Amino acid sequence: MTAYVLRKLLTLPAVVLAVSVLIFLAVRLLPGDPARMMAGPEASSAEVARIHAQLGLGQPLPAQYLAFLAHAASGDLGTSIESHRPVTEELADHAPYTLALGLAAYLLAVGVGVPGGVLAAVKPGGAWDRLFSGFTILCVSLANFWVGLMAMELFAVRLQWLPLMGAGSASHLVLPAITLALAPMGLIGRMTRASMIDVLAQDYIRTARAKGLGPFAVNFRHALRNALAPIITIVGLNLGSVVGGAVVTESVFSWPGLGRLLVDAVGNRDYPVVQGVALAAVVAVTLANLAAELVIAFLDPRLRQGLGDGR
Amino acid sequence: MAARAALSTGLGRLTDWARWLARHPSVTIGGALVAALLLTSLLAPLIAPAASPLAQDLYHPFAGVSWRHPFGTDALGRDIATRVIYGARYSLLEAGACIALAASIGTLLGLAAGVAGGLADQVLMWLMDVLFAFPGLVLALLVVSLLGPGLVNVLLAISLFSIPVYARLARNQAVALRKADYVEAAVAMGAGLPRIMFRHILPNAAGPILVQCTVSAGSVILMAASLSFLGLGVQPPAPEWGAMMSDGRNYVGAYLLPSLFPGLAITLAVLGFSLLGEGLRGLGDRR
Repeated sequence: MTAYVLRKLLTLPAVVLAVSVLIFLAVRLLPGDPARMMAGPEASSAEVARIHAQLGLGQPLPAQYLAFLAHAASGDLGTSIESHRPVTEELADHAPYTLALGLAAYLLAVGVGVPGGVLAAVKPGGAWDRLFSGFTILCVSLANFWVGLMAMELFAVRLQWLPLMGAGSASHLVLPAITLALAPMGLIGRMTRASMIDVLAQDYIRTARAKGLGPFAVNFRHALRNALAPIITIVGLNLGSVVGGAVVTESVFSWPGLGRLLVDAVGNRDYPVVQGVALAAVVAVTLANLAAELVIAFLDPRLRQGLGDGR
Repeated sequence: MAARAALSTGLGRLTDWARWLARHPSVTIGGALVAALLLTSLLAPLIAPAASPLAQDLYHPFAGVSWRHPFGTDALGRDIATRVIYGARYSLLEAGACIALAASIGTLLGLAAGVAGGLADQVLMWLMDVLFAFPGLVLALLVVSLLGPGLVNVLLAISLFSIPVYARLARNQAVALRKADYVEAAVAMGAGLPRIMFRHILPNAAGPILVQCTVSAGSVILMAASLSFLGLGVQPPAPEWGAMMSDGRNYVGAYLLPSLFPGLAITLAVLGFSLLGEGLRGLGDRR
């Protein structure tokens, strides 16, 4: 188990390093002077020279990359061109909002998707299965910004049950969280259903039923446990699309998270901030996938005791 | 007599078709939605109520639903139904261009990696993993922040992050088929790498790749519309659904129609491709 965990942990820096090269090269390989591009068309030549020096653009590329990496490792991701504040400070200011939104959305997605998928798999083709399958495919097809706008119109403007936008209280979180939860809810629901149908066809489920276990014990204790691996994988893999969804959702609801920071930075061509948010997003997604693999390994007694194939 | 026999076999075939479609509701409903999208974009000038999606009528902004304006009018008095109908062209263009680019590059890379094997395979697939580590929309925003907003740049950005899916799919197919007897025979007869890739492996790997194209058409449309909604893709006044909603969001709370109908159109288009893709995948599994 320890060897397995260590081996998995070692893949993390490899991916993050590769991504950092990509992010680093992206801005430097463009035609023209990156400093001029970042400073914008109205900037004075002194401003351009300042950015030029700040990025160390006079040096050869490998030296620039090492400097970039050394700074990043010591927590210095550069300075925002727009706000003149350190990028790490900007990230730290906005991250808690995105974490709260993402966590709420994930709880909702798993809380509805997993039980819904289990119940659908118990009777494939039944009324609940048809209803739930229709609902989940709709969930993955909806444009979240449209759902967000319609929810604002209905619940904030017409019914006035919830605040329109912004952050501040728990009620501000409700509409963005539901909007963001729909797509992963659909995916998790579909994956749970498919995985459960496979497991329910196994012999040991028939045995469990034959020895008189009730449907709850059979479905949730025996079957769901063994259907969990693909569900956890999809939950981990899905973080990437949730991050993407959060960008749009935050923009719709004026939610002051990393997504809105990113969209504003792209609009302002505030490249150090774009770089920082992209790096943070990649690290988060890679960590989530890693966590999913570790949880799966932990749940599988063969892997836990080091008897497994090691995957 | 012969005519009647021909008619009855014709009817028989038709009922066979109808029965098959009734048994596969995903393919039927999805196919109908996709066909509707195709027809709408082809026939846009014929079915649109107004002559142009850009024609303004500043005396009649935010008109309600009427015979003249089935979906109402927007802030500049433009007919929303006409704009939604012409918007179908953008979504098809986005889906078609991105998938053609991503699927051809991805398939090419994946087949080459799978057939060549060894170090080339490992390096290529590792690169794909790195690309895959980016959340799609974040990668697209990164590319757009570098290249600037606009339709072409958004299409390039979306294509870029769609490549790994096709590369992995094609690679796995190629690795599986590489050991097939008929491929070994072709290798033994001295067939070169391109010939093995395109004549022997691609035809047998095409099914799952085409299914993936259908499934990802929906997500491409969603992604492109999201970027236009954020103001980074197709720019106003073009009648693109995401761009229309980017304008319509300013009036949410006061006027619903400008954001209601473009979003409905996006949902139906994406739903069509998702259902069709799911249905086709199901057919492939059963075989």
